[in-house]
Amino acid sequence: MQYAALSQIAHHNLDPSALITIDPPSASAPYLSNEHILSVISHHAPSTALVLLPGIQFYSGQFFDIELITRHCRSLGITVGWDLAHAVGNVPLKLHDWNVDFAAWCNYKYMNGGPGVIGGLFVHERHGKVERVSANKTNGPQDALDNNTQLTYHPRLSGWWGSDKSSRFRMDNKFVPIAGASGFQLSNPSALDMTSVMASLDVFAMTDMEALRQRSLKLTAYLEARLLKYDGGEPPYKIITPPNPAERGAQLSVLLNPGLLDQVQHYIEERGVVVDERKPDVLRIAPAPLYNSFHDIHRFITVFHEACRKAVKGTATEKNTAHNDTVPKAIATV
Amino acid sequence: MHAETRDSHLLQLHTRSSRTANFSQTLVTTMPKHHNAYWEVPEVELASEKFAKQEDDKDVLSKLRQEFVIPTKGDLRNNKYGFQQKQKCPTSKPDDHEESIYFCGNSLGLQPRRTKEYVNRYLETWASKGVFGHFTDYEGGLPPWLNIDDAVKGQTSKILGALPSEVVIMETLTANLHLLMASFYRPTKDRWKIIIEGKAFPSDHVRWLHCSWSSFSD
Repeated sequence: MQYAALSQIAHHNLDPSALITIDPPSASAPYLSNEHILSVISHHAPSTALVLLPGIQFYSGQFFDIELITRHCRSLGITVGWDLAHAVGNVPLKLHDWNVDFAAWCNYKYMNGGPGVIGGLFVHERHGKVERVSANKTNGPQDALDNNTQLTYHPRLSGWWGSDKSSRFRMDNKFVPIAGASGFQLSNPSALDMTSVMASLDVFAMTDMEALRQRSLKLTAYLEARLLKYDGGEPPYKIITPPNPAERGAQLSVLLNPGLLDQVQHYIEERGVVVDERKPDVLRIAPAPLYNSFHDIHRFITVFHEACRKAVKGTATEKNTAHNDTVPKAIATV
Repeated sequence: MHAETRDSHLLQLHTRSSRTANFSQTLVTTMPKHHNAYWEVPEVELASEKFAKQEDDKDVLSKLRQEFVIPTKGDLRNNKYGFQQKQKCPTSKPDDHEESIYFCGNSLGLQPRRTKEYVNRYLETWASKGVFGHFTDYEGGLPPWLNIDDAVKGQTSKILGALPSEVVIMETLTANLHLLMASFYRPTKDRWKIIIEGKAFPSDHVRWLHCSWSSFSD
């Protein structure tokens, strides 16, 4: 998101100082309170064109108050967009009611569409309108577009697939955007990708996000309770994801004491546990409510706590020497 | 304000003379404590396998797991692509047949069982009908490719809490963010900043990005 925002700024020939970041206190304390977020936005409001935030922060797993922050931005005349990569299919969203201006997401995380599969975007109804303004009003309403009719719509980079289906194959060089988000399409989407997304959506159709969230809240609370009960006193880690269920999705991020991550990851991976790591010290553990079980969490805790005890003693790998050579590659976490 | 750097912004936030400093400084750090209902379960019971299985049995949504391919531990260990074959080999481990413990859905979600069937239908339609697959609604098939974007709007809009007309499945995340910023980030002399979250990052990197664009557009 930083790269994308910075390159937009550069694209407009503006100084990189146009990018303002809301900074967490530190990597070990990544929590951002609403008050902090709102105060930074307020501070820069008169000169700010856009606020672009993640619905759920990838590192800490913090779920931001999208409704509150959106309302705050809009009251200050600032456009607000959301990156929902870690939120879609994970937590219930109400983008329309929350008056979000725009949002984008990917379909390969909690959406289970497959690696690098086609993503999606949201444009609020108020920005998706396509209105006809007749230059010659005496002719009355016109169905067909002619040279006297002009269209007004939100400016965009457009392509032929965003043009009205009835006119799409006429190729008469008149762009007539489809009203709504579909008018932002460029080319025809990959039918292979769409098919894969459709399969995933049909699984989601077997329940709804409210029911899935209730299950997710229990799974993550159970994971948290099990993580915090560590045989042998103080655990050699702490959870850096907010303890308030309303401020997190499925994921809990665990910050291990320095030097333990490689050994712990190696030990648990050998025993069939797949979690991703964020160097230098964080494991992100995400029980997906569609397919993970309480029993998965129980089995995870058993292996993970054993790994921690061994790593603390420095005996997690059979040979202590040169274990770095045998540590498997970090799991790619796009 | 144009000359203001992020560093000086940070300084302001942490300086008591700033108008916002007192406010934000006191509110930045601590996460509020919260109750967890599982703490009421006696410790021995909570740690038991039986308790976990009971929780699974109680939840009607547990059955959705059957909709997914859960790789076994042996599958993950297998050096050859695809699933591990059943016969034993010298490198087999006793727990190869057990389901793996996959908590990486925040990176790459597991495959729904039906995905293979849907993709097969797509492949067969393409193979047997060619270009007609764009327009023709075949019995037992998926929607014609021309309309497939509309076919996924309904369920997508439910997940996003949106109207069907407000969502579209297209492109990829960063490409979409760029398209949306092209539309919604229209800097003026009064308003030009973008606010994001995250750590400030090396100024060299910033300068490199900036130079690379300037050389294009100058």
